[in-house]
Amino acid sequence: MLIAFYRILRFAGQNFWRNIWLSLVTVTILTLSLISVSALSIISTLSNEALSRLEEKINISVYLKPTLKLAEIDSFKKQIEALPDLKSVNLINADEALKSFKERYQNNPLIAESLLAIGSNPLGSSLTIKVSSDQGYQKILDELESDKFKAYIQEARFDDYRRVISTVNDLTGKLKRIGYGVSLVFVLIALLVVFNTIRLNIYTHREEIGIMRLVGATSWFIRAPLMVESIFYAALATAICALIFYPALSALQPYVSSFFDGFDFNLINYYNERWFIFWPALFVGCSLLSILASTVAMRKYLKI
Amino acid sequence: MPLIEFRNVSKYYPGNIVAVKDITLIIEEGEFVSIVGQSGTGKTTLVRLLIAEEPLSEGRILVAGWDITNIHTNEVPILRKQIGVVFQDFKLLPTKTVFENVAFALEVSNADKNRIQSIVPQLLKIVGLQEKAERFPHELSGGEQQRVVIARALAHRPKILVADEPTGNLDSINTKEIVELLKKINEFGTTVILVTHNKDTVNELKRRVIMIDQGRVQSDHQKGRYLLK
Ligand SMILES: Nc1ncnc2c1ncn2[C@@H]1O[C@H](COP(=O)(O)OP(=O)(O)OP(=O)(O)O)[C@@H](O)[C@H]1O
Ligand SMILES: [Mg+2]
Repeated sequence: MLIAFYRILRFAGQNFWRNIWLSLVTVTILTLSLISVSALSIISTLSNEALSRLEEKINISVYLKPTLKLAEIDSFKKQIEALPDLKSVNLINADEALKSFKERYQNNPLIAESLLAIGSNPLGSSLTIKVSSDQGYQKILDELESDKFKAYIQEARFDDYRRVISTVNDLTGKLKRIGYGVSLVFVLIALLVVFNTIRLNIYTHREEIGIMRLVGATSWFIRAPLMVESIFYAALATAICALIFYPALSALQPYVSSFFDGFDFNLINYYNERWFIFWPALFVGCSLLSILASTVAMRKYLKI
Repeated sequence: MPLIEFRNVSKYYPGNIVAVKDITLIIEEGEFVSIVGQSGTGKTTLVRLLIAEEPLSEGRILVAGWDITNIHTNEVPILRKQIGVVFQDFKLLPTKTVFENVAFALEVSNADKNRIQSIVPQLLKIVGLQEKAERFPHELSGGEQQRVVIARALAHRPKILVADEPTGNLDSINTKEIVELLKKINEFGTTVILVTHNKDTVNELKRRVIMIDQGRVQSDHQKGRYLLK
């Protein structure tokens, strides 16, 4: 059994080397297919990430009058919390607001100076409200406009990222569609190329295959090297794809960082955490594609 | 039980071509049978039917009692190990040495290294090429090349050796050598079926001769001669 395995590997290796140019073309096209599928994966990772971060950002900030007493703030918060459809209500008190303000502008001497000049804390407390449904925001905003809250609120601001989200959605949707199209084209070409490579290998080895059949080699023994060869193409293509993939991620990371301004999202980490799903999936997918094409070629051209 | 039995075997190719028509034959173990006949009369077809290279259209074929008429693809390798085949065009692998060409037949059916190392020299000795084991096919004469093919055909110690015009491309001296070799193999107990055009060969053999004409058995003589019509 082991010796048969070794011989099959050797025959497969010979197939690979004897038509080296053809083998290279095959590996190249498989690699291109894998790269386009990987790119598709990156696009959808980024878009999912961006969308969920943007959704996270949608909120209503309610700035309270700085003159309010603590008890008043508390009662206001309770009233807000009683409203329907809320996801969360966060209180940022005046001290915290000042602290984060200072932190944000710590490099700006002018602001630091002005703060000193004012002396006391000019900022009031604020509430950040998140609503569980998209439609809920307008209701809350209407509610906040009503008279019973007038005494508390200095300003209510709705940070509406829904326009941005739909823009991002449109853009990534388009990119994904292009990605699917390109991948599909590459996969189809790859199918044809692998089919043709195996066909040519059968042709190159027709004498050998003929002899094998005459001396009683099983059809399994004749097919196995071609199968192994197809899997070998897939393995090589996956390896090359990986060699291109990680440098590409590194090159992409600065743009990703600036896009995800403030959040730290690291593409390389993202894929490193998932390599044991990502790469086997690519390899198995690529192998299946390659085996499918070579099986069809064998059906057609290997008369055994 | 006869070793080979053809029962009313016919083979038609598409386009109303009758290659073999209603042939009934019995070949016993240990026989040396020559099959002769004009070109295109169905001799090669008969061989291809016997080794299950082609399905038959009518009739039955039995090999050592095994009905191979509707043989399954998976069973063909088992049959091929019982029947060694030699064709006119030598079909050696040009990139392999004599030794490797013979070893190839064993390699593709899971023989281990030790067995290959012990069997191949024996086979080369039978065909008288043990000295030339490391040569490549293009470094051999036509007759020597054909002897390598015969050695390879014997690799699985088949019960039957079928040679379809093995001397077709050879001169008379080489032809004689090949025929002598086939006789020797026959003496070892292997049943030999020789398809040939060569009148002298058949006449000198003085063994059974089956004459095929237009796909039918025209004559079948135990100590035959190649009688031309
Ligand atoms: N694959 C095929 N398809 C169609 N016709 C075929 C095929 N193989 C053989 N034939 C026809 O069958 C007939 C018998 O051919 P076969 O090769 O058996 O003759 P043969 O006796 O071996 O001839 P030769 O002495 O020239 O080798 C011929 O008429 C040939 O044209
Ligand atoms: Mg013929």
